[in-house]
Amino acid sequence: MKSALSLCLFALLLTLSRASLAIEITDSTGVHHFDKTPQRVIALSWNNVENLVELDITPLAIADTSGYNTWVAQPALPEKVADVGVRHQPSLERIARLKPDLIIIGSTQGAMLQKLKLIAPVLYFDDFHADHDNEESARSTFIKLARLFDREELALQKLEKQKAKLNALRQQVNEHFNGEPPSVDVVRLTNLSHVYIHDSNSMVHAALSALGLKESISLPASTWGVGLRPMTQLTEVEGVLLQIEPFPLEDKLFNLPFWEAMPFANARRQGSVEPAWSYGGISSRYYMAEKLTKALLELPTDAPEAKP
Amino acid sequence: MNCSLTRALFLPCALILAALLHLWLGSEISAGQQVNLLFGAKAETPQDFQFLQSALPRLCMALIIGATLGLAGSLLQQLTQNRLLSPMTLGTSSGAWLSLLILTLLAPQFASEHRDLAALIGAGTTTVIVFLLAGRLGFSGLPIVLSGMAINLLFAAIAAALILLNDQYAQPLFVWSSGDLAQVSWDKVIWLLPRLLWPLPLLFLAPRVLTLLRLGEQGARARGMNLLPIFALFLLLALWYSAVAVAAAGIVGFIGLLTPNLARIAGMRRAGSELAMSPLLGALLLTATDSLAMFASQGGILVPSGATAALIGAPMLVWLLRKGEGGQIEEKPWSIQREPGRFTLPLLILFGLVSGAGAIFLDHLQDGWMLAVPEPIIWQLRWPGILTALSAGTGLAVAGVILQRLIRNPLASPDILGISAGATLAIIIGAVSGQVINSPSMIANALAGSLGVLALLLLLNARQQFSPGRLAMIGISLAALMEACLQLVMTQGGDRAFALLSWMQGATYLVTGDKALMLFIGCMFCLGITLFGERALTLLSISETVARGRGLATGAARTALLAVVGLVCALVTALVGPIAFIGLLAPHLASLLGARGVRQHLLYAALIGSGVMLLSEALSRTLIPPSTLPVGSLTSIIGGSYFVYLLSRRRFASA
Repeated sequence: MKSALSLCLFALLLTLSRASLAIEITDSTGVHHFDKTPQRVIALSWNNVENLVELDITPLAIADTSGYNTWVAQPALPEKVADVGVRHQPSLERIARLKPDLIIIGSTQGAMLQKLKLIAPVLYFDDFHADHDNEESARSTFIKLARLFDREELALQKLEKQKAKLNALRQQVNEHFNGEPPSVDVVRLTNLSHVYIHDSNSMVHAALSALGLKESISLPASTWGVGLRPMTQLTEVEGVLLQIEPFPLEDKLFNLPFWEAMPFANARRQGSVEPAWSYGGISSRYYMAEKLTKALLELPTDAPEAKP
Repeated sequence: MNCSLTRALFLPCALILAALLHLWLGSEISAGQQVNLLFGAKAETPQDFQFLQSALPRLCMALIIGATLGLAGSLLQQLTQNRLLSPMTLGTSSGAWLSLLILTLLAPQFASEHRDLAALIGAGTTTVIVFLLAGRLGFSGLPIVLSGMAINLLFAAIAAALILLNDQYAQPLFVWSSGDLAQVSWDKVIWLLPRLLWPLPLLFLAPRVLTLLRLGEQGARARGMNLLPIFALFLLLALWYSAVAVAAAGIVGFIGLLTPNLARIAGMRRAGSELAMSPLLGALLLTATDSLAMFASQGGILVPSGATAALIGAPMLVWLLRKGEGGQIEEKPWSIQREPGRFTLPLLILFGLVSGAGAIFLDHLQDGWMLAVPEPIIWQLRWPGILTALSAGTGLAVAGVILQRLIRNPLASPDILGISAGATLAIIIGAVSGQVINSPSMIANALAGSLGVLALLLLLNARQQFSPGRLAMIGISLAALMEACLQLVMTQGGDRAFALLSWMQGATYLVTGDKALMLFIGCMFCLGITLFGERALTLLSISETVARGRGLATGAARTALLAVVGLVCALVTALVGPIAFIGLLAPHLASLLGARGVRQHLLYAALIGSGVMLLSEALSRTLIPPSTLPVGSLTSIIGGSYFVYLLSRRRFASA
């Protein structure tokens, strides 16, 4: 009798643990359960495409492959990924025909949620918000996805590796500036009169902090981590100014008297950063930091012995 | 004497004050230092340079662009004797915007270096198209306003579709298009001045020519003048001025439209004095609105001058219209041209069926176009869009029929009257303050917006009849206001703007089954009520007195019918987005085809409206796979092109 009871208990425990084997994942809409690891994934937001590729998962399809290759570029998209249309007007029917078992969408795509749910389970990660830390949110989404795909180990390894590399970059920057790195402000130029300045909720800020650098202009945290400001606000820059390429009017702007009067307007305090995507996942922090470092290392500094 | 002296002094004094305010807001250094710098002190700090290279050129730009717009507006209005013309109403700015966008997508480097050239070409071409469409006889009347508006809507739809399909490439243009006057050098002023100055000597001849024009062509010929070449010359001059202003400063609406009217209110009745005062007023107005823009931008969010100009201009225009200024356009009675043919109804039904079949069966996969019965999952995704298109087309047609009959005006429609724009504006404001687009609370927003505009219209027309020109102007001003708000959102960066823009173009494919059913029930309910109120609508469309004579409670009937219109517009705008042209074209085409009674009118219009919507729905899925084209853009392009065709045939004007 007693043994029968314990057998029952054992069986109960077994079923319970079987049930808990179902993967649980929380997105911006709540908790979801997956019985098995999704195999056919379609990601419609580029930061989540990036997350998948970082986890060595080839998505079945994404939104706007050529856009991704142009604007995000890193990590490189594997070949044979189908295109389901631009990010804000994708073809729902094409998505359905590909028979995905998971669709991942991001901020600004929430309006598609109801329709996409008819096709497959949808995970909606609203990672960009003014009232939370975008970097922290990006990291947590990456880990959650890794868990869902049973690759938490890999994800942690990657993050650990990135951390080590970031430390090395930090070292390099520090040495380059003889232990006294200046403040660094990173902007995106759009036309001659206005500039997008990154604030504390941006991946640029996350990259700068990882490099041990600080901005001199601080803007209030915003949803996307950028604020459009008149060019004149750049007079507040105290240290180095980096601009993310491309900016077609570079030659014209840099030769204006107004620009030349800027405190940073000399070869030591002004540099250009290779094209980089500012609205990416957590790994984009590392790519951004890499490009920022490259730009910073190109700035000439006084050699210690040259000082009088 | 004393009075005229104060009046003469008032404007220069106000201008100087506005300029000082502008400088005070635009620069951080003290007034004393500013004076020193002006008198040749060497600039040292970045703030000094900011004053010399940014604040001062910005002030100059505000003064020059304001004056140019005022001058162009006054020239245009006097040449055509049409108080509603301005670069804004002529589609100049939307043409510039579209051409710049296309050039940026084709040749980014060239476009960013020669932005002004691109804008100039676009502005010039568009305005010439609008003038050609209106025809020589249409200059002074409604046709030209309509042509401009049609082209505006058409080009805006094409531009929005292009932006949606190329989002990242288009982003740098938003600041320009929002009409911002910020400067970092004297380059633009230097670019502008020679282009504005060379025609100045010609302007001294203008007062004489304009005075002669007032006499009319015959009067002038009696004095031995053939006016046409001179007329053409000055028209080109006015267009040149507006195009140059758009190229240099982006889209700044209202100034060119308002200032000549204000000058006339201020008593400048003679051609020369109006022409002289308009630039001064324009400079004053733009300097003031730009100061406001700078002041508003201090909070951190960049507010472009185009937005503040629209914010001040739109109510001012409405006030002007209320005063009866600017609305003097002859009205043409609405008459029916011919009997419906034997095949009219069957053909319309066939059109609806073919479009419907296309929406259901047409597909465009990797291996090309095909007709296929949709698989269950595809059908599940597809039917809400089809039902939405059908309902929205019917609903807007009903709203159009009611408005055209009630207001007895072939132009009255939700888009022209700005009812849709009101709903859109309310939704944009909601979206900016954090609500989710197409959430239920947005329907309440949209309803408030559309009913608000309806109330405004009723208020404005309490005493006078609804004149077509005045109605069109209200629609235009609300649409411009909405456009300015949208641009304001677009410039702020991030991807949120594209989600808003996507909805702005009418996204039927995002509508879920329950919302599609809700829209269907709503629109059918409105159709039902209208059919129920058939007698009231028939009587009211004859005349108020007849209706009252037959014992109809006209006030209550009118209110109920207008409430139906407001409900349709709110539902469609909240669930699908702003859909242009359907509410205008379907009822109008129906009456062109000979629909007479209310019932017939409703039936024809609903068939046309839903047919066009279903056709757009089918094309939106299949035209550019794998992306989806916004349905609203397609209806605007189909409807807009047809409207332009109608205008070119002069049928609209004579209908």
